[in-house]
Amino acid sequence: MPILEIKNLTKTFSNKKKAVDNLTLSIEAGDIFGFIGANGAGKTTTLKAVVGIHSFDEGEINIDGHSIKKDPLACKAVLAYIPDNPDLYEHLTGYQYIHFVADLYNVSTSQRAQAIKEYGDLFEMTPNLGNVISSYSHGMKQRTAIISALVHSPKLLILDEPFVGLDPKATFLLKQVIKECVSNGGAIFFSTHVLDVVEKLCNKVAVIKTGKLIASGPIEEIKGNQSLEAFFMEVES
Amino acid sequence: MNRIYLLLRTQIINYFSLNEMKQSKNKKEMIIIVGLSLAMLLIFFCIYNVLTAQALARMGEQDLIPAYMVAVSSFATLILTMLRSNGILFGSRDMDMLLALPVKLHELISSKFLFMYLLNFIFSFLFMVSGGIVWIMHTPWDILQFALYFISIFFVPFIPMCLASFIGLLVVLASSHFKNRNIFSLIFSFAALGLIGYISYLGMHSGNNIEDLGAMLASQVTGLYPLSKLFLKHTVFPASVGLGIFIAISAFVFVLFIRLVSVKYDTLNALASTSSKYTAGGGAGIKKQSQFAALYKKEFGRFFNSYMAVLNTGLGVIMLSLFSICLLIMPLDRLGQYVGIEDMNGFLSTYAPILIAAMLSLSCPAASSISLEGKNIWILQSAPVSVRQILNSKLAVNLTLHGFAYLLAVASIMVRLKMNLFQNVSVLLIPIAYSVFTAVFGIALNKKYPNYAWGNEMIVVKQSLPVIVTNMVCMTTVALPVLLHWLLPVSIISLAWIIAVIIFIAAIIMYQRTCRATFI
Repeated sequence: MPILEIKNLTKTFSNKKKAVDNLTLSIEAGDIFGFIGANGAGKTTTLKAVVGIHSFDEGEINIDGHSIKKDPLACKAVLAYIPDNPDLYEHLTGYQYIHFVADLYNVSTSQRAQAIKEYGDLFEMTPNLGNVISSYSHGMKQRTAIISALVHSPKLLILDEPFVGLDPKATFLLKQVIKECVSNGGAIFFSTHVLDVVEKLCNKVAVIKTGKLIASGPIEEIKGNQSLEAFFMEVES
Repeated sequence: MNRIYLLLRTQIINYFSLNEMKQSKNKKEMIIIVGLSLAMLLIFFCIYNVLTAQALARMGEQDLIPAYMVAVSSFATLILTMLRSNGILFGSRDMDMLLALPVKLHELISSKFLFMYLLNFIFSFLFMVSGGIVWIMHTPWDILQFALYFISIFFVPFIPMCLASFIGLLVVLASSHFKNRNIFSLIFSFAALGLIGYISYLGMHSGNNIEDLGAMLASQVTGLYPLSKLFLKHTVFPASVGLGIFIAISAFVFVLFIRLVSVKYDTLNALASTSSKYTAGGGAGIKKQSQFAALYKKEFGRFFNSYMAVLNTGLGVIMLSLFSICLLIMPLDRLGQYVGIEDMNGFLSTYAPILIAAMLSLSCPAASSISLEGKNIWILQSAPVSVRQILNSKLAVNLTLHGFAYLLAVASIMVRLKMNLFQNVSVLLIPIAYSVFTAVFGIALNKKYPNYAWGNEMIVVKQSLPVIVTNMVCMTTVALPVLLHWLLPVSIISLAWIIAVIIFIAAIIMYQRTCRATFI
């Protein structure tokens, strides 16, 4: 059974613009699934529909066998989402924020303590987690968002432009975390403009153009003999 | 000038979310609600001013009308600007972006100040035009004086705005030295408001001569705002000269203030924007909590962390708490003297439930609590929490605030007043219905019309559609028993009970319907 199954997803905005048009794709456990497309192609809208932020007009989204429309809480309990610009509660400290998220996901004290220690140290955030988030830089907020997303060991990690704002070391560490999550039976679905990362990190890719899915599947099948960049430029032209 | 206009226009579009309104799915519905609210506000102000002006004219004191209108609108401007100058003039989120643009600092400040001026001008306009028409109808024809009066409408907000911004600045400067500057900003702001109220009270009650009604009224009006003296008829110079002097002083003070602020604006703005840097210790010791407890604590922290939210939506609760403390520590007759009520025991025995309800209805943080999530809304939207749970946590914060003031008020009233059983039960139960209705109506409206794309908290805390409509509807439900009592031969408490039952049922229905949503 796929962890994420999107069937004929259609989302129209109030200005009648079709942001996503009849999109279908499926993500299995163990997949690192890259989602690429030009600005305004519908990537973020699709991700937001998957995590239950946006409603949608037609289609179905199932996560771990649950429908996001009929049983949104069961779906959200197994996923974690990090937006492109992680706006966190600025009045909380890093620790308070992570504990807040852990409480919402009903994470046990021991599990959260272990996760905070492990990922706090990994992302070199432990010395700063006691400070209020308003004093953090963009990269520190990003790392705090990543730690909070991992605190409940999600089966499906959904990331919107996860590498924007991260320094090279944090970027490397995030890639390691993604691989570790997948090796534990999870799946990753992320949007990005960095085609090089997709080519090296992902096993599957989907290309979206003006709301419509242009291509989807194993990365080698999609790009063939050419580079992903060359393939992308070809479908975008 | 073009750049000031451009900045001002952008600010208006952004502040009132005009584009979002235009592109909204519920465009028609929104226009109707906004239109009706504005029309109600307009009618209410005009009727109030016309009736007040007519009352003065009936007493033969029509010459006092201009001074009265200037004094009241200036006082309103002073208080309203104090409540928001630190969000518009200083510390707004767009400042970093604007300071990087090729615009002169004084153009930037002028645009911010003009924006605040526009908001205040509406008040002055409503006061002065409606009162002015009554004044003209009862005054011998003097074109110069009338013309200067109407020209002065444009200048009336200047001095109170400068004064309020200056006080706001002092609050910023004083609180910037403290670790937790938000709390100190609030304390200083309330202290400043209290001081202004006290000075006005002293001014209005000094030198009163009860035998000369005209002199007493003139003394009270000019005591509230001394510059309004220039609108009274003088023997030393004609009234038109007084109006001319007022216009000149106002313009001079405004230009001077802008120039002075420009000199140190970047420093002052940086002080107003600085966030607290305190450390709250390590992660150890934080226990696992239920979803509701986590949301409630977060919401409570969010509310008290917002200077704007506490100052604006907590005003009713603070006023009720202060009144309750006064009731406890002061003799009843002395308190009656201060507020101008002879039989305080009799008055409060009848009106206490409505008084408490009115104060609670003024405080509705729930009406802006969903919008206040702003760009953080994704956290709740993507978390496995039901809409009901989120709404409950926000309602609980509202009801906790109400509960504090309510308990204090009920306790002080029951201890100090001699009331029968029915009156006691009324004081206990009627305000609860109003409190629940206020909170639920506010959150339901905010759920229907959220605004997450604000750049300044003031937009959602004070000027947003859910806040304005909630205040108006709740105050109408408070006024309804009083109005119906004038029209029908039914006691005011019985009417308050009927309204309380109706709004309580309405609150339950609204709550159930709002909680059915699957998206926040």
